[in-house]
Amino acid sequence: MRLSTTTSSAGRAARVTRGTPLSARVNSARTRIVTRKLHNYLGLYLLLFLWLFAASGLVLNHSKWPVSQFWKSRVESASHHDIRVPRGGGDIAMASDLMAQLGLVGEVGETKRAPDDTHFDFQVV
Amino acid sequence: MPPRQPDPLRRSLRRWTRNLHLYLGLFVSPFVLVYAVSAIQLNHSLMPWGGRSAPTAPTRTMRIVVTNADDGLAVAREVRRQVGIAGEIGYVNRKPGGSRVSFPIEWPGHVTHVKVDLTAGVATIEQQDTGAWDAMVYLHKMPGPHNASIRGNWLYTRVWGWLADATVYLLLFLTASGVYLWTVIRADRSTGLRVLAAGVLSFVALVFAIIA
Repeated sequence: MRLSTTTSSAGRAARVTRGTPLSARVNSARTRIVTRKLHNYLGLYLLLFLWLFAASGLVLNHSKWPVSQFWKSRVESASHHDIRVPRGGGDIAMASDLMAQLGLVGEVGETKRAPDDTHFDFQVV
Repeated sequence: MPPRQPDPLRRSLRRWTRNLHLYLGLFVSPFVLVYAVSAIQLNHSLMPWGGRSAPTAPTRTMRIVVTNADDGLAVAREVRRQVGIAGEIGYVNRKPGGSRVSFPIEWPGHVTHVKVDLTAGVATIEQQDTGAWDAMVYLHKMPGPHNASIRGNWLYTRVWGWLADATVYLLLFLTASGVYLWTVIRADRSTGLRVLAAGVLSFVALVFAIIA
């Protein structure tokens, strides 16, 4: 079945759909509705994530802004603990073992190991 | 009773917001695509076809003349002009008072490593094609927080920095205008509220899990 009406008040829509099979028009309308709903709902779900990434992007690009000066205002403290020699050969395994011993939680960042294996430094973020 | 006509001012605001949301969204979409693709690359350490470990072209040397050798960045700029390579000077490596200066000249997809011997007046140049994927990551990170005092020493990095800012401001506008447009669609309000609440809960739970 083909629709050839041009009497629609939405002239532009009529021009687009003139001669288009009805089933194709129905599919197109359905796709448009689904896409619009997905657009709305995904946008709403990700709203705060987008704001976080947008704000952090600005902070990263403007390191001279006062709000970007957080590194200077960090609080540092040092303490000494006795530890068991960590198990595992890899840096991550050693860091994880030490974190468990020290009660630290987080992501292992940079790791450094002395060539003679006497020192092992790592960062937990 | 005739149906209530919407306030013309409100109707006009809705139409303007919808058009701005649509057209500004179309404008910013290529930039968002660059950030989206490169974010996936960064999150998964994905760098097909070499990237920064791609092979370098044969090293070549050039004679250069630098009159003002006090400031490292000024030296790098002068050498960049003389060797005729466009790009952002990534950093400048020079020991205090030393006569050897090294720096990379970066252009999305290309890096040129330059080593200068000021006493001999010789620049050693090594070029590397890092490819389109590395270019995406480079654009994602530029201008960034590192070496802020020298960043933007190439016009196009400054322009990209403005565009990066514009992308953020436009994204903020798109989200705000999107929320406004959603509030005027009555049919989607209840489901939208539930989805928004789910998003807020996920975000808070994730932030709490990371910080706490």
